[in-house]
Amino acid sequence: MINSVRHVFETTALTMISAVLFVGFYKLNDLIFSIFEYSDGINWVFLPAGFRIVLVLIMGLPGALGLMLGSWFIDRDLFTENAAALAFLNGIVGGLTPWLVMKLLIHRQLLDRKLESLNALLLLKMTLLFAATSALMHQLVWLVLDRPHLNIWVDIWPMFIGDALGALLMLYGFKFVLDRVGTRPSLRPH
Amino acid sequence: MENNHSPFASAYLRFLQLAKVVQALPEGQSIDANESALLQSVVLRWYENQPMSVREAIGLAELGSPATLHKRITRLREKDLLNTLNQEGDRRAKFLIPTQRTLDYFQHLGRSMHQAHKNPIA
Repeated sequence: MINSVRHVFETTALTMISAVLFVGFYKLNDLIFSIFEYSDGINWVFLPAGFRIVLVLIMGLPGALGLMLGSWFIDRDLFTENAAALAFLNGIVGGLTPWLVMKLLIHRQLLDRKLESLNALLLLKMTLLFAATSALMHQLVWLVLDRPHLNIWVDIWPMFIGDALGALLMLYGFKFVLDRVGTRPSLRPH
Repeated sequence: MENNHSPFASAYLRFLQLAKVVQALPEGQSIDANESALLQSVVLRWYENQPMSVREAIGLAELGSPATLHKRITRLREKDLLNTLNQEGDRRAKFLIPTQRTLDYFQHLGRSMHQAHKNPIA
């Protein structure tokens, strides 16, 4: 009983941490990279995309649920502007797509639950795969919901590039910090 | 054997695993085996209190031709791994000395070797 309560508490805490980090970095991205905004909801550099990867890989489903909650919080105004379906599906797609991609990779034995088989090359490939699927799924949702001024064949590219660039910036930022706080210097021979 | 860790413990263990992978991400400023060999020769001479001059370094025939070694020295300087020092009284003689970044790198290698010696199975 105590164990299951603790399990629920920890899962909830991870979900909330994920949501807060995603929203925090969304706001930071708005602050730093607002000049790179392509259109409403699409940015040429989207830092929170890095968190989609990191949080889902580390936390699993609670991380994905946190991303979903974070996305709903960011789009909260849409729920009162007759665009509730758009806001709702944005959250589902933003949170669950990376988790489903991770599940698929595990199912195909390209990745394992404990990330023991993860290496730098696979992480970079996953970054591109997450960016591509996220951009595609968002665009499809917007297409289905008939979002005004949508041109999926054009808009998908800034979204993909923004997600990929943002995720790479995040990962290399993470590396920069680890190289300086950890024991390992940044220089590595081939 | 499947371990049933708590969500926090699992997340932390996966964080450690991911951190290891992130640290191994390729970076533009890595050094190849040839640069590493030259750097080692230069640092060894510096360690012996007999810093190598640029002229001596480009004359290390076993590591390459003078033109190749000159380019390699330039690359190591651009990567902030080597500095040059002019001898007092003779501005023509330039000596190669390691930077703090190089010393950190060798310190890391030494620490890794010590760790590997202490835990041969790991």
